[in-house]
Parts: sequence; structure tokens; C-alpha cells
Amino acid sequence: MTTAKKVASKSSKSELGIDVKDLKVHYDTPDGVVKAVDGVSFSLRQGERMALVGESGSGKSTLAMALMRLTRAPGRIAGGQVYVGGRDMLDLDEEEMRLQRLNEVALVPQGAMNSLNPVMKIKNQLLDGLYDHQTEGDQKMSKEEQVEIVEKLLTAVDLAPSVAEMYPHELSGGMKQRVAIAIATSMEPRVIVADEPTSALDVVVQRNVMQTLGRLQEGLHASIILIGHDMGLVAQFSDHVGVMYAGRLVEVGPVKTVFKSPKHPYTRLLIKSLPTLSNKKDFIGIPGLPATLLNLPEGCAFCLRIGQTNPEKIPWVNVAKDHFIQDCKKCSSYGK
Amino acid sequence: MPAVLEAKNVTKVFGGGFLSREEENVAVNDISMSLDQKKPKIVAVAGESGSGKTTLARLLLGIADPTSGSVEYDGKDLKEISRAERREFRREVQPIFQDPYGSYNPFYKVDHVLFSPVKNFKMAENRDEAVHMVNQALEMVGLVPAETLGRLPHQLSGGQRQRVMVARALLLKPRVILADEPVSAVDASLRATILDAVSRLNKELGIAVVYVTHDLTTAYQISDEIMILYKGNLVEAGNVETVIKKPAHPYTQLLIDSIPEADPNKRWGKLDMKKTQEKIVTAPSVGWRK
Repeated sequence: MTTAKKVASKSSKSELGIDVKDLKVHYDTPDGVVKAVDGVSFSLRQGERMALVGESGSGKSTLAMALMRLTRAPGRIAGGQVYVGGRDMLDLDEEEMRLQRLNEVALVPQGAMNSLNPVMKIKNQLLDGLYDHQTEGDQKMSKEEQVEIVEKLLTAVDLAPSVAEMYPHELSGGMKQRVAIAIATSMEPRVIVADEPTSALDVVVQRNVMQTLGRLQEGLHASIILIGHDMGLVAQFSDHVGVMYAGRLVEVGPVKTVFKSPKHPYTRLLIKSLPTLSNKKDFIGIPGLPATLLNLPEGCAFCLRIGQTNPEKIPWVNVAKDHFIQDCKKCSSYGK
Repeated sequence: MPAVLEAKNVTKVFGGGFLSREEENVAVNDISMSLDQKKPKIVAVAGESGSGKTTLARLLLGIADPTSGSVEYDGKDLKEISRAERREFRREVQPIFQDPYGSYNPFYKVDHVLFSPVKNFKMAENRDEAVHMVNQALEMVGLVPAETLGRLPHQLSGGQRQRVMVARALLLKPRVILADEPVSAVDASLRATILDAVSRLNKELGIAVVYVTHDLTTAYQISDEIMILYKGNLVEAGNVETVIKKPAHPYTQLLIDSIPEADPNKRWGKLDMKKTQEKIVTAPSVGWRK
């Protein structure tokens, strides 16, 4: 299954894993167009981890689905390019895209509890993905090969080989999430999109599952895009962070720099609103409500939240090495 | 003076009846706690799924009966109180539940959840007084009455809906608020506002709060005392500052160690999982045992 292309690309460390350019996802509603993802661009080298954070309704899950090209009506991808391995995913026809999924880009879905088929044994769910997305025709594997590959996949996510014969209801939440990770990594993808992979799990289990995911991703030298709202998890897991607000990226940079000196007011508030175990006072909510995406005007969306307007086009400004923000003159010092 | 609400060695066992084929499941094992009348505190009950924290909350609310032990309200066993006393108990001990969607009837305006308890418990003399009370309660939790009343539940955000629930509890002038995971369905950035409202009720109105949660960071932020539950057992309890800063039980240590802190320079998960888990089984519980 492992093809030469990946071995070749893994040797060069700085090769781009994924390059997203001006991606737009719109929902057509009777009241107008909702721009859930409004011109998002970022790129990620192979082996790097990036997290996309934001509140509910910021468009992060819509973006994850669009990267997999799994956007469903009334949503549609309204523009942009997603390059993986030098090919624009949005340019492929449906059949070509099907072969890209799992092979090039794979999804670890939100709430694995509901993403597994309840009436199918785990081993068949693992093999199902391999059969459905493989490129080299559909020649069947022998029984021995099947057992071998299932065992290999399960051991890689720290599950006992006996899990192969079980059904999803026999597994705990953490084990189900591990199965989902095993499926996502079964074809050694170049890019893994993990949409809140541990949001339904307890902290101890979360830590275990994230360590497994991180280890596999490093082994595959894949890029990973972690979607989530847990800033703590982001700080601990990823190398880069992109902060989303109202369907747009407002700040992108290395995790250490962004957490140490966040430059966009929204990022600042997002970090401040987090309760910590070290100090009791720094715990304030973000005022106002998240922006409604319906007929959102051009210009700074965060200004609207704090009762201002700035209809001008907001430029991207490079504030430090690899660290960019949407620099709005009006609200940039808010909450300092 | 007896405690407002007190659990005395409560145990709750599910399954394992005379004809049952299921094994016994001890959801809550011999736990005692009390809420003082004179110094109303915020007590956090923390634990993971299956720790028995919600079962304990249900026992305290009188929704479930303990298999052994007793829950006492003003010194009287909940099983033995009269109808009138039970009604009073229902008013004075107010729950706030996890799901801010499930607590509403989607066809009624939010006014319904605010005005009907006022009416049912005859908290107001007339309509004007009721309106005044509702407005006051909404302002207390940081909502603007004019922007909240007259709306349907789906027109409010999750955070607003949950704050309306806090306001509803407040209207009945309770002595105890029992909040079961009030913020876990709400965005991280809005949690602060809800928890702030709850903590103000405690500080300004002297309402005792039981805060049931799986999230140690928010528990640390608002509570005075904390109880850590593990598989139905109370493994550590005490002043929140001591328990969080100097956890003595290996399970508490593992929990705290597993929380991803929003600081990339701090290392996540220093403890060895296997060794700690072995220690948890044998370690004795730490802290108060009343």
C-alpha cells in the first residue's frame, strides 16, 4: 500500500504538506449567504502540527470539512484552492477525490462515538477504508494479510489485537477514538485533519489519546490540523496556531510566540478567558456575542463585537517571525 | 444548628437485585458531606465519567433515594419529611442542569421558565412585583431584561440560556443551588460569565453552591472546598487551594497532571500513567471524613 511517492517526499523535510489559499465556504439560506469560511489561507510543512481555534460558530468545523471536501448542502465551497501533494483538491472530480481521502488527506472526526458503524466488527471497519480508497484496483487481500494489517493498525494505537473482533458498543469512548485514529492513519496520509478529536473524553484519556495521535503523526511525517476550542490542548500539542473569528483567520503564528504575546485583541481575550490552575484572578469572559455570519460586512468583524465599526479592508501584518495578524487600527489595543 | 443539606454516609447501588442478572454497580460508596448554614460555601464535586458525581447530585436533590445512609435537609431525613416540607425543600434547593437546551420547551418563550416558578410558589403578590423580580434576577446574572424576555429559547445563545437558568433558580430565593456541569455545554469563552454569576450568588446573597464538574480548573476558580470522586469513592477532599496545589492522593495527582495548561512552556503529563494507576488502587482516601 505504501507507494514510492511518499517515501520520496518524506526525505525532504521542508516540503509543503498542505497549502490552503483563499478558501471560501458559503451556506445559502433564505435570509442570505452565510460566509462560514471567508477567505482563509495558510500552509503547513510536512511533519508540522497546526491548531485552528475559535468559538462555536467561528467556522472551524466547516473549514475541516471543506479540507476533506465533505461539505454538504446547503453549504458549498465558493472559492479557493487546497493543495496537497502538489494537486489542487478542489479541482478533482468526485472519483479522484474519493481516492485522495484516507490516502492523502484523512479525517479524525469529532465524537468518534458516532462515527463508527454500530453493526460492523472493528476489523471490517478498518479494512473497509483500505478497500474503498485504495488506488491499485480492488484486488482482495488474503485472510492472513488482513489479520496481519488489522493487528498492525490496532497495535499502533495501543489497542489489543482482540479488539478486531469486537463491536463499537463493547469499547469505551477512548478506545473508539483510537479506532478512529487507526482508520485515519491506515493509508499513511500526508495530511490528518483532527476535528476536536478528544472533546468528549475525560482529561486522563484525552492525554493518552493525544499522545498516540502525536506519535503516529510523527512516524508518518504527516501534517496535522487540529481543530478545537481548548486552548490548553492547543498549547500542549501543536507547533502553530491559527485563531479564527467569524469565518476568518485573525492571527497565525508559532504557538510559543502567540501564547506569550498575542497581538490580536480576540486572541488576547481567548487566552485570558481560560481558567488556569496557577492564578485565581485572571478569569474573565469575552464580552458580547460571537458575530452572526449572515450578511457580515467587509472590514473588521471583531470591532462589531465590542460596539465599533471599521469597514475598511484589514491588512495582514507580520508582527514577528512567522507571526501574522489582521491588524485593525481601531480594536488592536482592546483588552490590553 | 443543623446543616442546610447534609449527606450522611450515602451509598447508591444500581442493579444486582434479587432476580437481576446484572452485577451490582456501586455508583456512590459511603460519602458524607454537609453544607453549612452560617458560612455558605461553594463546594465542588469533581470526577470523571463514572465517578458517581451526578448520582451524588441526584441523591442530594432527592430525585434518587440512597440505598443506605441518609440525606438530611434542615436535620430531617428527606425520606420522612411531610408534603409541605418537601415543597419547601423543592423551593430552597434549586438545580441547574448541564444542557441549556433540554431545560426549555422550544415552543414557549423564555418568560415561561421565569414566571411559572414565581407563580407556582407564590413568590409575588401581583404581576408587577413578578416582573420586577424577574428583571432583578436577570440583571443579577448579567442579562439585559429587554433583550432577553419575549424571546424563544433558540433565539438566545447557549451562554444566555444557561444564565436564564441561573436567574430562574435565583427567583425562588433558594438556600442551596446545585449545579450539575452548568458550563460543559457552553463555549470556553462564555464559561467565565456564567461561573461569575454563580459565584456572585454565593458571595452576595449567601447561597450555598454545590458545583458538580469534571473540570478542575473551573472548580479551582470558583469553589472554596473540593471533593474528588473516583469510581464512587471519595478519594480526596478539603480546601480547594490545598487539594489543587498539594494533591495528596495519586488519582488527584494524575488528574491535575493530565490537564493541558494554556502555556506551551509547561510540560503536559509528567506522571507515568501505569505506575500512577497502580498506586490509585491501593491509596487510602485523604481529607475530611465526617
